[in-house]
Amino acid sequence: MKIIKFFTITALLIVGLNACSKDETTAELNVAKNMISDKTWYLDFSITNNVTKSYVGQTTYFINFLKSGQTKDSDGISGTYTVQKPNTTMQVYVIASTISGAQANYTYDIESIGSQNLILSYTKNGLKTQLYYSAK
Amino acid sequence: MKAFKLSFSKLLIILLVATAPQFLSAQKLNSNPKSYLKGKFNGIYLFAGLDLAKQNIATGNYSSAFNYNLSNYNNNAFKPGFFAGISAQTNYKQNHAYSFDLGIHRMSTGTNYKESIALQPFLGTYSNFKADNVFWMLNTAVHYKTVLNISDTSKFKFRLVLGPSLDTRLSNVSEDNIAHSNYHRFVLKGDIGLEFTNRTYYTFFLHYKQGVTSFTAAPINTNLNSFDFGMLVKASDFF
Repeated sequence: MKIIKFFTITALLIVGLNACSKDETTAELNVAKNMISDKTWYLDFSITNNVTKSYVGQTTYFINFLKSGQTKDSDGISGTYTVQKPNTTMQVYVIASTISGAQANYTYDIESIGSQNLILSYTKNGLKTQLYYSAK
Repeated sequence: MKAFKLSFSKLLIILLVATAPQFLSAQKLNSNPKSYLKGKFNGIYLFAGLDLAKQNIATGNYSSAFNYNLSNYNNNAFKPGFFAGISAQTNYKQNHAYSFDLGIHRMSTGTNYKESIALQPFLGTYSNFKADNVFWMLNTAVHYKTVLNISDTSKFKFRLVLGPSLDTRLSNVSEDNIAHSNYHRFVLKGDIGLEFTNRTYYTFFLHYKQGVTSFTAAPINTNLNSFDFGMLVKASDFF
């Protein structure tokens, strides 16, 4: 009888240890948001149709993502952003407007994100473009 | 919530705990715990020491959206931690000495990534997996001990130690690893070591613990290896 009790208690403990984990998607989004925010991301390369353009060493496009959820880029487009995962890929949603007040909303797929390197992509007219940013 | 999987190491811990009542019957302990323990074991010892630990990581075909620059994470070194615990020593059929050890370890591990990825045109080597490097572990071990015929064994004893141990991770992992449930709760290890006993005053030991099961979920294979340096003293010297 004691052994059955021990089996039951131990099994419940082990199930409990496994169940006390945070939701995986929430954790993934938190990590992504921590990596992307409070940095200025400079565009180093873009690749479209296997053609690589380098902007290293040049005056290049940059964008800020703040922890508060605000974003502003070098073209003067400002607004808010969120990191979401609607399916299998994380995405950055930007709801923004230009200096003249025109809506400039866009969505990028996050292909890879780190504390120093960020690869975003979008598809336009069937052509995929990858944008390689580094934080400085 | 992810589905509960009954792995080999989880099954082993269930069996270990389930058989514990045979050794430590609560009823018998309550009646006279000191004499009961004396009857069961030759001695109860306390131990403490330092460990050096490293994770050897093969990421296989693991992929995630995260990239980690290995120049910041790959150090291929053993890093120091510490531990303390209790050891119950006894004999099987008079001749075969063995011990049950229970210890808490605060491990700080080095990391050795065996594989890397490229993020061209960015320079450098990267990994999609970032190993955590600080863990609180509960280590349970059964060690068989045999005296080596080195020096005068009436004064000093050298013992060879062999046996399995099970590490149970008590601390949480980082969000980077919660995101993909990368770390297991249990690691089964094979231990080998030497112990030096000066009469019965104290014992120094050096154990090497080789991870047998992976600390991480497939396809990442992580061997957690460590050296434990420490000292055993009789609990009766303190209590």
